[in-house]
Amino acid sequence: MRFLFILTLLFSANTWAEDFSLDAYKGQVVYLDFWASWCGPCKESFPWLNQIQQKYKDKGLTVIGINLDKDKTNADEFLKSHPAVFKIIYNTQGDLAKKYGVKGMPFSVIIDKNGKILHSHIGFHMDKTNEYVQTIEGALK
Amino acid sequence: MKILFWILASVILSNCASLGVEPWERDLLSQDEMTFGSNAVELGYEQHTYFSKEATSGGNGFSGGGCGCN
Amino acid sequence: MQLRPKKQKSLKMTLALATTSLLAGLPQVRAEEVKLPEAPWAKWSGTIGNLYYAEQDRVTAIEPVISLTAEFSGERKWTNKFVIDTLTGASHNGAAMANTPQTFTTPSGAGHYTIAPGQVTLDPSFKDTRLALSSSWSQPLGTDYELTAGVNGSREYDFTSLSLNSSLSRYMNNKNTKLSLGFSGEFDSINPVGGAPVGLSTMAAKGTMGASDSKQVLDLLFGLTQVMSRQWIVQINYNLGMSSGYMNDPYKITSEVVAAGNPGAGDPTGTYYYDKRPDQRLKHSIFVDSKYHTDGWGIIGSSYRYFFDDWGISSHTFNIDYRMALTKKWFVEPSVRYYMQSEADFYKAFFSQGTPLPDYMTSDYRLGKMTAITLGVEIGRKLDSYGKEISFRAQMYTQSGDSHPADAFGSLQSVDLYPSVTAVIGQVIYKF
Repeated sequence: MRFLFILTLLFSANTWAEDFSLDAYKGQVVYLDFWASWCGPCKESFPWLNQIQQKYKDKGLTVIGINLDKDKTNADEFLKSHPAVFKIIYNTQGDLAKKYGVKGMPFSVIIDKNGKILHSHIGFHMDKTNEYVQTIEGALK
Repeated sequence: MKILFWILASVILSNCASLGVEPWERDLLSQDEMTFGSNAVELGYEQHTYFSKEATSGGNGFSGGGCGCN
Repeated sequence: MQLRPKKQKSLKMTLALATTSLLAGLPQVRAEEVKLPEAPWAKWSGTIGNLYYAEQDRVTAIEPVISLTAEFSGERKWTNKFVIDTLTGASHNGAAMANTPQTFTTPSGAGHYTIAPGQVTLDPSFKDTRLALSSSWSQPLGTDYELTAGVNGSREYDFTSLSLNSSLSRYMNNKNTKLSLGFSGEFDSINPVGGAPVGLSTMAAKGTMGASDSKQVLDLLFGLTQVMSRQWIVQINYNLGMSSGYMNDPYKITSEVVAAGNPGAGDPTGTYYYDKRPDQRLKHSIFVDSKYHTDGWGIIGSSYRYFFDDWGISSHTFNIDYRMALTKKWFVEPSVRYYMQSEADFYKAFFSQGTPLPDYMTSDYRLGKMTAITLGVEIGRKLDSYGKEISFRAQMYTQSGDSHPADAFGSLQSVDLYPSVTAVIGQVIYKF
């Protein structure tokens, strides 16, 4: 029994290796974008993410790019050629991806001002950005 | 001992059932060279050459018609 | 390459954005400022390749290819491929080598050629140009399925082929498993030079079955692709092929030789029989393919195919290649292929005079027992991080069979009854 207890402790200690909490963004609309340097559509999504961040910053949108590269240096190299104006969090362990149920790459989650998940989508499709924008704007109202 | 056996058995079983990777663990698999048939032109050359020189073919996709045999 | 962007969409989007800006009480934001990037109509990519294939003393082939792919929104893909294939040189006519000179009629019936004693029986008049076009469309159906449909057409002076194919794939288990089911139907028409010879008629008294003949092939393919780990992916395919129709080689013949025990045993009698094969063939193949990434500099590819059919032919094919990154851009890939096949039930290197003619008979070396080895090396360079790449490959292909079969007698024992073939292959591929 005691063994199990220690195991649980070890596990939970690992889960939040990165100190990321949505609590810090209460009252903000959060756009979580799970990405990796090796993912093709992620490259396409970056300019768009930059633009929505700039566009809706004053209205209360925070874009957070959660990088899931195993090796952080690959992510840094990617960011050199695809600069981001939004916040980047490194999650090499992938526990955040697990928590949010990432089903493909990239994976985006839109969270409302109360911390509720409004919408999520797999991949980045330029022709669907209309829908993403509508959801964001709806949440910002 | 019995418990250990069951733990081991369930670990092995769950590993077999969950063969594969999480979507964010595809850094190597996402490379073109790790995709079957990604070099279609080269594959086409190989299939056409061997189809023309040997009695057996097939197995790896469809090699479209035409012989150019001799 | 970007082609025209969708005009209406941008207008709609700017309007929507402008409206929300107004609602949010920010009238100073002008429409052009809220313009977000747009999807291109299609993304184009392509491959240009050229193949040079040369056999010692026999055929030389040059095969340029161009392939263009357009990717549309929603992961829909359209691929078109265009191939030209030019063959020149000499082709083995099937007759056994002899210690006496042999004279043959050309397929058209208009000319003759003579092969010197101890020389390989090559028909020098071989020449062919083939054009092939193929087009295929693939798109997802929902989130778990993918549909592909394609059409191929090819034409050379004595052969026309048209085929249709389609396959449906299903992704499962977080896209770690892919199941595919496909079919292909092919319709061929054959118009041999000098007409299609009646099978087993003799060269001296060639009977023809008319100017053209036809063949149909139906293929079924069942495939399973499985991600084993972050570094390892495996594929297993089963392929069933059913052919019916004209499958003889109209240009191949079998030598009749003087029977054992007679004066001049094993020498050609001067009679040659045209090739005749069954008009049905059922083929099975099981193909296993694996790719393993070392998580460092290399990718090891290995595959195995087992094939068998109802003509009595079975084969084993092994393939191994190792792609090594030399630098971030340069790579080198050595490869080895080993192939072995058994002979068709009706393969005969020669036909002994006085014995009853079999139902089917061929001396086509490609249906004989053989082993083949390909050694190759490819070197390439990545030109950008979006798939632009150039590569060069050199290969050597050697085919050899039973030069002195146990049933050879008389003068046949002193000639090569399965001359080996050696070819060099050069290949350039540019992806953009």
